[in-house]
Amino acid sequence: MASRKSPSSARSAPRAEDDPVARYAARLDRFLAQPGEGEAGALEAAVGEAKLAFVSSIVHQFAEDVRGQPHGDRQDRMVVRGALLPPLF
Amino acid sequence: MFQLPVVDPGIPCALVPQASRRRGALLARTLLNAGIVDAALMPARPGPDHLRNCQTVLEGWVRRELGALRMLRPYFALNLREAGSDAGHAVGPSCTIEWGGESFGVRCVGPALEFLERHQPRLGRTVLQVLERQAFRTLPIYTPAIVMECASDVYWYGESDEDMALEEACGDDADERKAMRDNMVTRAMFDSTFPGWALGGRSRPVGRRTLQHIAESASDRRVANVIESLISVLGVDLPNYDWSFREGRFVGFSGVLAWGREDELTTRVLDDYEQMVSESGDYFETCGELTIAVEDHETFARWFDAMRPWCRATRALDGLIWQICEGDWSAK
Repeated sequence: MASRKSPSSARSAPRAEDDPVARYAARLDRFLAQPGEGEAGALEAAVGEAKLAFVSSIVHQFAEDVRGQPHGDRQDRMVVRGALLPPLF
Repeated sequence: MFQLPVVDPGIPCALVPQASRRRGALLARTLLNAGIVDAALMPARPGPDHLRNCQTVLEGWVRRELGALRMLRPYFALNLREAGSDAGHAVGPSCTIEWGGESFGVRCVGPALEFLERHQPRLGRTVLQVLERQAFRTLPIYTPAIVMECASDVYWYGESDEDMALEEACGDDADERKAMRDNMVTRAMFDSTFPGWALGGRSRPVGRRTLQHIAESASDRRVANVIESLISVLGVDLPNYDWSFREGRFVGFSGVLAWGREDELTTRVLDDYEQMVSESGDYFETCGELTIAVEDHETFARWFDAMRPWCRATRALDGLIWQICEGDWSAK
């Protein structure tokens, strides 16, 4: 006799949006469907990847410095790790 | 109160260049199309850097296939190349995969193999033969026979002993011949360091059924364990790897199996061999390399299919090497 799917097993079948692989595949497809050279692409082409990566690392460093992990004098002014006190005058 | 400047959370901490993201995304899509990505391999939160996502997936895949190894240290490297042109033809982005093994150093196998040979004639030889054969299909290891080939290459003009080299250098001058022989690596040194069966020969290996019988009747658990590992190694049928299309000498050996603690010959020969090869500049270290167009998911899938048994064989080989290097084999 042919087996029939019970309603509960039908309910438990994975949906595409629950499947991380399918979700990532859809995200990749959306990204790859975009034209390759947008404004950012043109900027990168002009600046060069190495320089952009350098700028990116400076921005990253700046963000890290502002958000936390301060060094030297600023370290002393910290009460809670990751939060800066108002600067001393 | 003074307001501290803040960086808007919408500003990313890292910028990934668009072209690089695109290459990464193409590779990620290809890995998905090749069917090797599953939910367990996916990073918890795939970031905008698709190359990093690919790296997480590939590392997970290798970990899953290889498991925890105790001796061998395989490595994989993947280089993406941009689209360009080759001899006037446009070539899309490609990817070169390289794999090999880092060396686990020098380990002694003489006591174990001699023990096995005493337990059952040809058993030690069989273990060495199987190990050598499978290592050349996965991650090559220096064994006594290979070390002697290196000696032949470095000192003996490719011959099986030093006679030709002495003839070339000294002619009939007996004193010169003696002086040279006293200062060089000779065949006699090999014969005094290793038993004859460890240096090759054509003796037939012990068959699988006999191996099973020896394992079942062995009162010594170590013998049974080695045979169990040996049968696992034999159980993976890998195609012979064709080394002939690689240029230069191979130096990426994954380890050295010396005979005993008093074996200084092995390291002396290998030092000289590796120095000679490095001076020649004509060598390669990887055990395999393959260049694939980034979007060619079928070739990727075939490579992963071929690497599954490779990983199984490597795991089995690792177990066998560990068995014969570890433990006290000197006592009967």
